[in-house]
Amino acid sequence: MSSFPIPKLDCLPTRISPCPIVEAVLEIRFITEVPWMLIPGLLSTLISDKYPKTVDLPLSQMPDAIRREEPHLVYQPLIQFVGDPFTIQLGPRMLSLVSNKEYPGWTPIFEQLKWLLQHVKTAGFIAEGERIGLRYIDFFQMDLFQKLTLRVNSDGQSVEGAEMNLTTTFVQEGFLSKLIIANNALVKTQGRANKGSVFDLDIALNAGDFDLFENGLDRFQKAHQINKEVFFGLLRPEFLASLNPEYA
Amino acid sequence: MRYPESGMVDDEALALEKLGVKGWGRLEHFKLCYAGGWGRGPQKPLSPRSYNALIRSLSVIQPPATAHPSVFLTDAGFLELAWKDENGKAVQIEFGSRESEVYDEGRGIEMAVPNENLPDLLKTLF
Repeated sequence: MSSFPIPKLDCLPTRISPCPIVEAVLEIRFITEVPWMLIPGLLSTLISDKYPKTVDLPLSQMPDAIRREEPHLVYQPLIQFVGDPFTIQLGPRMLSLVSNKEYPGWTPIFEQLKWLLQHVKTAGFIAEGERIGLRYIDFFQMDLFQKLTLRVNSDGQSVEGAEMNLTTTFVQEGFLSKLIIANNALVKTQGRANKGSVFDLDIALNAGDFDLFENGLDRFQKAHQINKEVFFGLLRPEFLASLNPEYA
Repeated sequence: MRYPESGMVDDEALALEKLGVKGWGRLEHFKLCYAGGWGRGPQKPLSPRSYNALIRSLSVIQPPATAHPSVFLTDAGFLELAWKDENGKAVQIEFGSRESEVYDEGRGIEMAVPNENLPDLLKTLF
């Protein structure tokens, strides 16, 4: 796989303002020997204090035999455990911790992940980790392509004003990184639909590159570091400066 | 036209090259349909680590041109690659989640190898 050159910053911000993160998802895919009907109960008894509300998702109504053989449905959640400020999503082959309200910062998410993994280990339904992924989705109310060190050119000239959707996958320090940048996004915030750009970055490791209960947390830490390096590295310096960066 | 999952196109291309369409198809079938429990007994789901070990090994294995390696799924959820060497003797590799077992009837080899060491060993053997 070819490399994807990304400018390396001497110092990464700890925070920018306004915070563009609309969703942060830490996902674990796994295999299990436990029937699906037992898994939600195994987990809910351990997390119900913090996540008292359970929501069955629409996909849970689809017959199991059909859902299991549809590739695009295999890793979808069927149930949500709703807490504040996080939601836990669970499916027959996946578990995720989602921050979709105001982003609380990495430390609270990581601490919550640590807590969740302890309970998942106790619940005992994961036979083997298949993939871990850290995905951050950022939204900017502008054409982001004009603000990045990544340029799209045609006939030697920069492409501007056109609707664009770019998807690329590359390896960054051993992690598989999937980046989607689109300037034709609509995001609903505070009851209004806002037009702008998304920067959707998923950093993942496949089976064989992690051991969920041995070094999974370390791997998530590293994935977060890489996510920051890629995100901030692709912002043009003057654009980053306009986002009121704070440094440790 | 097929668009593999992001980051998987090299793996699928390798499986197609080394196993042929039939072998690649069996792998995809195992991944999709046998990742949960299967069979009537205590068969285990396909181990992602086993799949990973197989793919990494495919990048170094060069079976004879006439070998047509076959791929199987064991009750333990591990992938197994099997073919006959130039003398018609059996070669089998069972890819476990942490270690793999290599059997070469022609050379009298039967050994278990940690997965991290497997590609280097297979490079010298095949």
